[in-house]
Amino acid sequence: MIGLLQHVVDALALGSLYALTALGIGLIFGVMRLINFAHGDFIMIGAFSLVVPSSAATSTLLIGAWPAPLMVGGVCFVVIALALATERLAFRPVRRADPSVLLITSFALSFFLQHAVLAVHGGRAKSANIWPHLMEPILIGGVRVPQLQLITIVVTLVLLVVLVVFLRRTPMGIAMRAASEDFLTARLLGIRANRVIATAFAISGLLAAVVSLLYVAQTSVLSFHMGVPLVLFAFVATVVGGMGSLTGAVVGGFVVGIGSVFFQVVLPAGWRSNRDVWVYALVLLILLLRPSGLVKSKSIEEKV
Amino acid sequence: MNTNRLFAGFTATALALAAYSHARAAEDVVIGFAVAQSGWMEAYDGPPLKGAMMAIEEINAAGGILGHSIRAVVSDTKTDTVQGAKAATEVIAKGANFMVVSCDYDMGAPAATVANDKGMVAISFCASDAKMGVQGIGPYAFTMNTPGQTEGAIAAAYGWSKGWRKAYALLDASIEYNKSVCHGFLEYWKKLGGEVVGVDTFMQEDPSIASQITRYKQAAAAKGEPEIMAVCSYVPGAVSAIRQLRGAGIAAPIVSGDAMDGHYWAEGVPGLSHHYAVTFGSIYGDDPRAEVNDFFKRYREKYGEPETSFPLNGYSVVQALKIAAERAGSLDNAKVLAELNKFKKEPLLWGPTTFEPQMHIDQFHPMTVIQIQDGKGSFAASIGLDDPPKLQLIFPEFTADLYEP
Repeated sequence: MIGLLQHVVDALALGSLYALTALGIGLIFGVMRLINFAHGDFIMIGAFSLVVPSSAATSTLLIGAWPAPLMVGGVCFVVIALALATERLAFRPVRRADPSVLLITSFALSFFLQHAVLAVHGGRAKSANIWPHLMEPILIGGVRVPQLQLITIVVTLVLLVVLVVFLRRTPMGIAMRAASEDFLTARLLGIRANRVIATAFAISGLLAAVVSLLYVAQTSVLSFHMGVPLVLFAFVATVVGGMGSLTGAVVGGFVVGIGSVFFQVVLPAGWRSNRDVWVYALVLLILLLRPSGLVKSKSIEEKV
Repeated sequence: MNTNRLFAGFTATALALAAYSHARAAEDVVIGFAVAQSGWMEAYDGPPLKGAMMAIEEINAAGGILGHSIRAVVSDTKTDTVQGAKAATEVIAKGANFMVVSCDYDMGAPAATVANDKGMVAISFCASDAKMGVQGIGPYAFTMNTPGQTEGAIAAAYGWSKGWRKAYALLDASIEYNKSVCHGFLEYWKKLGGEVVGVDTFMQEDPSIASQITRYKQAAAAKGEPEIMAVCSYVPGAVSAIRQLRGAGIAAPIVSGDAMDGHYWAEGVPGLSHHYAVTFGSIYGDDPRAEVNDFFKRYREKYGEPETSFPLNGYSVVQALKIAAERAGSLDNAKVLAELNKFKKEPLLWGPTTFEPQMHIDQFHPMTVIQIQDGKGSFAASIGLDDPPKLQLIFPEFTADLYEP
């Protein structure tokens, strides 16, 4: 029983990380039908902002050496600024283009950011040690929970609640929902497209920054490639959850995270190295049964 | 001055220069390096390339090869397999007599294949896959490393010598090298009579190994706390795993292969202790071999602090070519190949090296165990095996599944 609870906590923590990333992708897809593959690189840039830019093998902390509130603020500032800059410089000029052009733009941006980091920091992955004490577990009813897992789950829940309140109760949130329902009509009704989209990018930057911090605290890893696996899983999560639905993105993130831990736990030793095959098989099964994802989005449905 | 005379003057100078450089090219022994100078592989090819350049400089100062001085031509593979083959063609066009390729089977294979097809000796800096040789590329391909399986077996032998008897293996199943190390470790551990408490896998890019830690704790509770843990992975996934293991209070000594050489990565795991990596030498000035310490002293003066001991292999590649060419009395590749095939405990900088006509990776090579205690690296042991892992294990197509009970 305790073993089972332990696995549940492990699964929820991993699911939280994927859910936060999926939410960042889902938000941008909602307002402008852009699948932003560079979202993983936002996470990567956030992680690298913790250290001094240099090609040395060892890293020296920069923002990572600041006290916790400043560190969180600093990383959020860097990633939000990056997200807004990419929206203005890369995506706004092609906003009216075909979705495939948007997708390719996001790939180009992703390669650009990765190679910029490769040029500045070199190809060898680095380590940054932030908040090491958060790795220590605390016992809750016989279950060993690393504080970081607990923080990841709590932070995710808080951000979800804040985002829901923002989307339902504030004028900007309502404008954003309207834009994601039907962008053209929303504009005709006087909603300012640039502001809505910029706000969506700022929020997705904030979500990416939070994932950067949680990820580095957990793994200490800084690598130019670190965002790619996260964004792939998160993208799959948004599809499983239902493209265009924010609830779906979160649900999908948890499904992928929980599925991943589930197969890690139940598969026999010899099969465990192919765990992701099973996770993706689960994804395929869900899509076969519910082609438009677990949570249906009205706006997408109509277009299909 | 009239333009015609100016032009004639330029032409004459150009012709003279071309004739001079051609004459020089005819005199020099050219080693073509088709290795990564950009992209992520640069971090792994760069240090051995520096070691090779030091060897070229020092051998030239001592008279070169057969009286010819050595000249390096380098072409960037850009960490790309297609570009790897192009880089090989380029260094051949620039007159390469021999070729040196990337420190990895997948990245080095395209260039090595081009060289092999031309009947040119190609040595990888440090690919640890036995396929970088006769079986995977062809008779002209070599690698200056020991198989990952031997590294794993040496890790097991080290643990056994410390009196540890209960082992746990955590395999990052994302690449073959990791599997080789864990296969070698488990096979040798069982041969020594050690107990395996459990075996589990993770993936290099997993953001969390929480469920692996849960399983470890369950196995430890059921069968007793492991006294040694093989973490078969590489940077950065291994750093992430070790950080999470130590963070969860798992203090068991960790052993690993050459991918975890050095301690530049250890700042991700504050105050790390009891980490042991099987690699080529100690960069800390405490290697029992004076020539290794002396080499790193010269390296520091030239290039600054080394991150790993991989420059030793780059140096050894050039040494091997010099020895083989001088014994052959010729730069003819077939003759040099025949001499390389006769290497029997040849004293190269990275250690005594043995090649056989069918075995172009040194499975008997003694390796150095370096340890990290309190975040600091130092020499721990030097171990060579008389009974390295079986060939079935080194060529995994024959590997029995060690992961089933």
